[in-house]
Amino acid sequence: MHWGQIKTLFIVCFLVLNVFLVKQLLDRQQEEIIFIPETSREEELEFNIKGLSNLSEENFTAPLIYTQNLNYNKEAEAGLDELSKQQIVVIDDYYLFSRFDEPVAFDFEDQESDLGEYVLNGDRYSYWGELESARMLVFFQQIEYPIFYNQNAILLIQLNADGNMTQYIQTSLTTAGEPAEERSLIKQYDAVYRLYHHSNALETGDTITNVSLGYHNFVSLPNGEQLLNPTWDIQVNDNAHHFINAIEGHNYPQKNYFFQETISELVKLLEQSESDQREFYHLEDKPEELLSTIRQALVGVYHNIVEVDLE
Amino acid sequence: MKGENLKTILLVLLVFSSLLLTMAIWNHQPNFEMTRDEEDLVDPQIEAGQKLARLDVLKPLYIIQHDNSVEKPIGLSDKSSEQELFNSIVDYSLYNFSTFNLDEEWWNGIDDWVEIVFSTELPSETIYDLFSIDQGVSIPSGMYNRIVIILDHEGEYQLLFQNDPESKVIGASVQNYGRVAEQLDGYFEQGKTITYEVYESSRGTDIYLPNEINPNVLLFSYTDIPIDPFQNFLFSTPSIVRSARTTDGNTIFIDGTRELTLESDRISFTNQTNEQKVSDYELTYYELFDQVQNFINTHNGFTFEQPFSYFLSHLEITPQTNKVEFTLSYNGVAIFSDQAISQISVAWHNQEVYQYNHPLITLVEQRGIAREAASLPDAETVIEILNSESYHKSAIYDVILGYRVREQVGGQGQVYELIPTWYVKGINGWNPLIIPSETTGGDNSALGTD
Repeated sequence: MHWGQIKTLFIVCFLVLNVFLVKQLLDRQQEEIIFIPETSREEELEFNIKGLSNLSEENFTAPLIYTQNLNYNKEAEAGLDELSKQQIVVIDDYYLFSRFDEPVAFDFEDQESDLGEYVLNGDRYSYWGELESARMLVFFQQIEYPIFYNQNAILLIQLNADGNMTQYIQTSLTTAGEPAEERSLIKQYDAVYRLYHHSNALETGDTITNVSLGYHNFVSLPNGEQLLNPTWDIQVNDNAHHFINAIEGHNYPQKNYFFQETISELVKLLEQSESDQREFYHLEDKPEELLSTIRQALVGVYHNIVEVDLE
Repeated sequence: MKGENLKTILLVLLVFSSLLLTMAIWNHQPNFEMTRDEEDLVDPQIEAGQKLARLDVLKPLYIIQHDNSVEKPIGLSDKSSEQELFNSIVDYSLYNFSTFNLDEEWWNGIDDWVEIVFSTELPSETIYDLFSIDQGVSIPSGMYNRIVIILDHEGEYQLLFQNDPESKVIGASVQNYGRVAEQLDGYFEQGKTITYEVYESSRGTDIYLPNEINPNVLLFSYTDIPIDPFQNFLFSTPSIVRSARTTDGNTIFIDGTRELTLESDRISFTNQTNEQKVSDYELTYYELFDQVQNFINTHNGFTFEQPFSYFLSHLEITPQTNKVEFTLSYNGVAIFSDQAISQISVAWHNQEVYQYNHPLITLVEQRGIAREAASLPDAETVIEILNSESYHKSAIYDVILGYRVREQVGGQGQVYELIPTWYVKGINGWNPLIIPSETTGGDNSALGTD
């Protein structure tokens, strides 16, 4: 055989070999995509849950936030002095109870009206909802995003039958230490995916009506320090809220008795605090009278919530 | 000629490209995204800890030989010979597994048998681990806490896996049965033996209490286990963890969802978000045991030095929780403690850890004998106590003579005491025997009730 023919034979052989190798390489790259995510489980989610098309495709980032309770007496004394037409008592430095001298009309619907006029840093709280049949409005404190269901970052405003503000209770968190670095968060779709597949919270036919970012904390240190984790609030059928940790993706158990427990603890604080634990601002009534009025109104709210729960 | 040159160039190109493609395939790395930061990739293993195989933690509480021609059952007096005997028993070749109801009449006809008693009910899959049985062999599903080897029986099944609350047993045939029976008899004939008192448990089964007891309180030096590895594997991002001291001197670590409490000689961890069992798939007892064992092995969580070891002492599945507990033993004798410094316990929900308790000390070297236990009743007195008013309404599933471990009181510190103590297994697990007031005072006083 001539050398020329041998070369031709080799060329054909190597061509075939190269085609095979290219195919192998392409197959391997394909494999990576096949495993993530599991297609059938995605399909199952899309088949059973509505509203997925409204979810944002964006990649979000948010930092973890280290916080401490705001000490009203040490850090906000001047701010409290400026608030007018109300009597304030701060218990244990962190819990602020205030009673308006006269009911205050306030338009919560109006974007222009400034809650900060009546409540210390009132503009840093976002409306969450109303406690059914108790005429109490719930606001969550915001540090960039709202802090969900946190007894130390809440504003509860009580209204009278005319819808005017009569009294409120407030707690606040302040950031502690240097701001932490931004962390990339799981996508909204992945949060819903995890909620559907890793908990029994969603049922076939449910609609995801809104997904928003906030912060959540489950355990605090004895000195009050908290570590707030970025959390997706997944709203289902316009009412139920489910919370998914936006970094790790695990779901938080529901806090079904949060308001009941919070108000019961606030009532206990009012009843059991000693005089050296209380600090008054703009006091006009007798201290015991003021405490008793606030307490009675709160007890009324508590009973209304319990009744609604029993129903 | 020009065509030939072109062919040569083409051939060289093809050879090179095939080489390049081959290299590309060899070096191909899947491009998975790393979700953790570099700083969080820390070694999560306990340096002084070790891994234990399933077989290593499947250890009995005691082994008894019955011979109806002798008045009382006997056992080997030396616990290490008992362990040796158990190791030889698990070398038997078993076959022909079947499940059936134990016929009382048939059972009464048996005169001579060896009984191996475990601390907790074990799933039948553990028989594969214990006796190194091929996975192809079918073993009926069920639970057992006793293995009975019949020594004078010509029937089909010579070895039974029994569970106290059930009359159904799993039977198996033993290969070379004649030699095995002889060998077992030999162990008890040649070895130093002690007699046992028999007491009927609340489930109608027999409990055995040794007649010879060693009242010596042993002293041991110990080493501390550092907290860092626990922090590194229990928190998903250790770098964000914050800590603070509590008023009672403990330290709490949190990351917003998980909580690790450090006490002087132990840790307890809770992942608050994993409290509820929500997973649709319910684990089997064996899967639970296997997953928890793997979890502990992953970080070398079995912290002990020979002749101490850990054995599986509790396995529980309820609608609320799944729990697995491993208990420390010294030469095969179980060690209990009021402060959970001799138990590793795991609550396992949704195939992940929910709660984890682990001692932070390792007992190391024996520092002699301190004294004799102040009030250690003999077996007959224990039976009297169990029959008395104080245990009138309590369930009694088993009784053993174990050790109670505690830091030496009034000593110079740095040592832990192993105090021989009777323990009773009831509804709430193992608790120290409550000795009525006329005999109290000493090591057993001030103990909690069952």
